[in-house]
Amino acid sequence: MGFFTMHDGQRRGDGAGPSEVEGQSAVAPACEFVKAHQVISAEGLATRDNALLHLARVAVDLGLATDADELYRAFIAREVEGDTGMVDGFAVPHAKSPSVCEASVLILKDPVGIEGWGTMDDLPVTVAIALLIPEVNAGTSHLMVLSKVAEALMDDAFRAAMKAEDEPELVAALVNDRLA
Amino acid sequence: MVSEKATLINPQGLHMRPAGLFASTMGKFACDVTVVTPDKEVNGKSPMALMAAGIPCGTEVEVKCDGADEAEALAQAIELIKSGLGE
Repeated sequence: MGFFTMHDGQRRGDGAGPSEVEGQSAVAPACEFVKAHQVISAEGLATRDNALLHLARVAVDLGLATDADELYRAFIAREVEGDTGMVDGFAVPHAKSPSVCEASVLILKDPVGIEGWGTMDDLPVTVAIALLIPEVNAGTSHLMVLSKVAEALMDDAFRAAMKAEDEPELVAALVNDRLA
Repeated sequence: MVSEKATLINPQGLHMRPAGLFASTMGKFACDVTVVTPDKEVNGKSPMALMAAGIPCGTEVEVKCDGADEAEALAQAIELIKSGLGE
């Protein structure tokens, strides 16, 4: 299954969302791709590695991954290849791992600020948009997600809204709107 | 202004890592650097803009450099792309 595609046009079954698209593998409008419970608030994580470990544990708690240690190592391995810190308090950590059950996005907000993420402007990270990618799901879908996230992060209004909004449902809606 | 075309060979396209490498390398030059795809033109010194472009593997891009050190910048840009941008 692609990152945002539905196998054989069937929608993920939680009872909500648009009708099915038959006969084709359609890109999901992603109106509910990021759910409210995938928006995590924390304070005082302090360091990038603490934040990534927290994300890995939450991913397992939510059933998105099976092994927090393995997922954490995958996050760190990606950081070693190159910092995923961006600008204006944002980071886009991502991990491709066999422990990831399904392609998903977790949003971590820490208003205190997380140091050591190698951001392009040296500012601490307050919003991490984490991508979890199954081992088998490589290629253009990963690229599409990063492209959409990067495009969103170039929008001053999006960044401001993401930082200002605390309600998980509304944060999820902001991201879903961009991933559509 | 000088320009040259090259094809992206990175299996996962111009994602964060190669985009960052390209942008940081081009950032060392004084000239303007533009990457032209079939769909858009983006600032070659901006990792965010390059990522947002979502350029997939196999895309032929044109790199345009305009300024004092344009020839050197273009040569390095094309070499980077043809060598797989560090991957």
